[in-house]
Amino acid sequence: MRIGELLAAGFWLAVALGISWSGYELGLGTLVDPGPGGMIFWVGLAMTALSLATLAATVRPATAAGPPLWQGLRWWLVPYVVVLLSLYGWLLPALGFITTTFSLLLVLFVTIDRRGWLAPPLGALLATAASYIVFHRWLGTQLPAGEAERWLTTHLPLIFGRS
Amino acid sequence: MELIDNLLLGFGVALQPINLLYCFLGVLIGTLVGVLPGIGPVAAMSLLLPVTFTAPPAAGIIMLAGIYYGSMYGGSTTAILVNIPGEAASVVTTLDGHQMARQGRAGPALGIAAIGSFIAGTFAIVGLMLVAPSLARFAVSFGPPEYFSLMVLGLSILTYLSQGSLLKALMMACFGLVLGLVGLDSISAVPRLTFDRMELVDGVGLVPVVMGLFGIAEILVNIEQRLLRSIFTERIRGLLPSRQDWAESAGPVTRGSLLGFVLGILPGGGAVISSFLSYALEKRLSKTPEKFGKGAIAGVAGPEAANNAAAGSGFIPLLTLGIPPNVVVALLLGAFIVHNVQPGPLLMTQNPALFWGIVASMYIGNAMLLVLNLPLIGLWVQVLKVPYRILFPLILLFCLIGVYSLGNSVFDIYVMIAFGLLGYLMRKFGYEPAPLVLAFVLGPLMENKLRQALILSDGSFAIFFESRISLACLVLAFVLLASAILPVLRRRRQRIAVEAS
Repeated sequence: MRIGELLAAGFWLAVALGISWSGYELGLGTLVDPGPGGMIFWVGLAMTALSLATLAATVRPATAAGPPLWQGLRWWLVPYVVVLLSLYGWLLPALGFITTTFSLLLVLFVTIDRRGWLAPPLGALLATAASYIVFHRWLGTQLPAGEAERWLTTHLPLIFGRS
Repeated sequence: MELIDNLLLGFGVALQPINLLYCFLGVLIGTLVGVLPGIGPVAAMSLLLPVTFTAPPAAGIIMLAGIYYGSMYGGSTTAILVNIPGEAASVVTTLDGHQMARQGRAGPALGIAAIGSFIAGTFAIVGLMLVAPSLARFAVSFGPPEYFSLMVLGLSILTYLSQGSLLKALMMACFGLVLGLVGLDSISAVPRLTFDRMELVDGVGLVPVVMGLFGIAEILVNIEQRLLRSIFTERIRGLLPSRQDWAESAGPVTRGSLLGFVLGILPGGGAVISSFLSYALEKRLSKTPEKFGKGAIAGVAGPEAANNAAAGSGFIPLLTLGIPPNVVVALLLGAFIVHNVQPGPLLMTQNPALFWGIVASMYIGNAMLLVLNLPLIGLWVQVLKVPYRILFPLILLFCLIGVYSLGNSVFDIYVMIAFGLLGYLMRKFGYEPAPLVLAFVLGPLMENKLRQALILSDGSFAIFFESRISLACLVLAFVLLASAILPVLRRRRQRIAVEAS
């Protein structure tokens, strides 16, 4: 817990220093004519002071170490979901909405608290089709098209074509 | 007379079929997100903001407002039946509401929550109608120093009331301010903190940030623990409270409405704080405080009235000053801007149909909510039975579609994921996201007002102390933040924050 707190405070200190430096580089201007970096610099400086104070409070010997933050939790699911979402973003323009969304939902349904073998693909299929029809067809949302969209709009235009 | 004319104008707008439809959709979705634990009004409003792009401004804003006050109603259902608050303002309702359900009195608990919410919501709208015009006339005289100081006060109150370390909350407010300044400088057109990315020239989007910090982060926190919900399965009957229940609830509903209304107007205040203070007040005033926590109906009626009144009065600073008092209303400000409408003192005179249309829609929305939350309670109980393993991939999907559809940009998806991970880690290490988001929204406004004030005063900070309003705001903000250092006040602040958490 203590190491995590230290790392967090250190991270914010680095961010604060970076902000102050960027503000300084952008130009502080004068009080009569404040520059584009003025507010960024001063807020960054305040943030630096606050993160230093947090860092000092964390390293103070009197500070009791809290309970372990990830004990007894399925913490590995967090990076797993983050990676899946990033992959979704990466593949979305290339493969299109339907293929990418179906794959994401299927993987999530299968790998996290799965119940049976039929429910995950069926659920993923229904959720993908329903969201495509609602958002793309009814609400007019622009969703990236791939092979699946082209096939569906050609063969099932009444359901998947634009309303 | 003028008030009645304005109200008639408002009802003329609100009763148009498209506005009625959007109002219904708003309160329906609001109730749904209130009922479902794990998705709150902030995430739902961010998700549906792009959907309102194609709608007329009045309809879009009416829908988003409906989600906000609708979620206050829905949150109590989950709190009473499942002992999990549907959203933060219903935390306190779990204490007595669920106890009532366990004693076979789920019906009266749900009934008084819905009726109390309706009374308080209506009271807040009447108050909004009466207070807003005078406040708007007064606010016309506000200059850059007054606006700047008022925003400083709002941020200070929100930071003061944040859970845990004040240092961390202040740091998050600072980070939010800087994040709001990313993009082209409004005066010199110099790109700031854009890292040569074209996507950042217009700044970081509000929706990806909010969806990440509140939607994705909430899911990441929930999936790492196995959520076990014990849903109240007995048949719910007798929703109308008895005469005895009414007698015990009349005072708490009245006091909760007044308390919530006042706290909702204050910058930094809101539904969560109001519900906790109402509970504390009722317990203190009760002749039988020992019954609180064991199924006292006053412990449901007061807080539910308070959070609804606060949700309604939160619109006053937004509509009259253009300043959002809390994160949810900050999102509404985003919606106004998206629709090219500038809320503030001139909104009432320049766009009376929109202003009074929103007010009138709130009357209609409250009446709709009463119907949705009493006769349709069985439907919401069924919704509660949907397991989280099915729910969370769907919420993730809605977040992804919502963010992508904003600008058809994958970059926004990455921003949302990054803020989701950041929000998850912030929760782990006790950094509050609420000051960050409010500061993010206020950042550009604050910078503009600060620069305008300094240009007006030839670079003298004295301008902030010459106006009484500005001086009062700054002194209050300073006292509030400085008081957190005093041991007695620090303990009190921590107690409020821990209760609110």
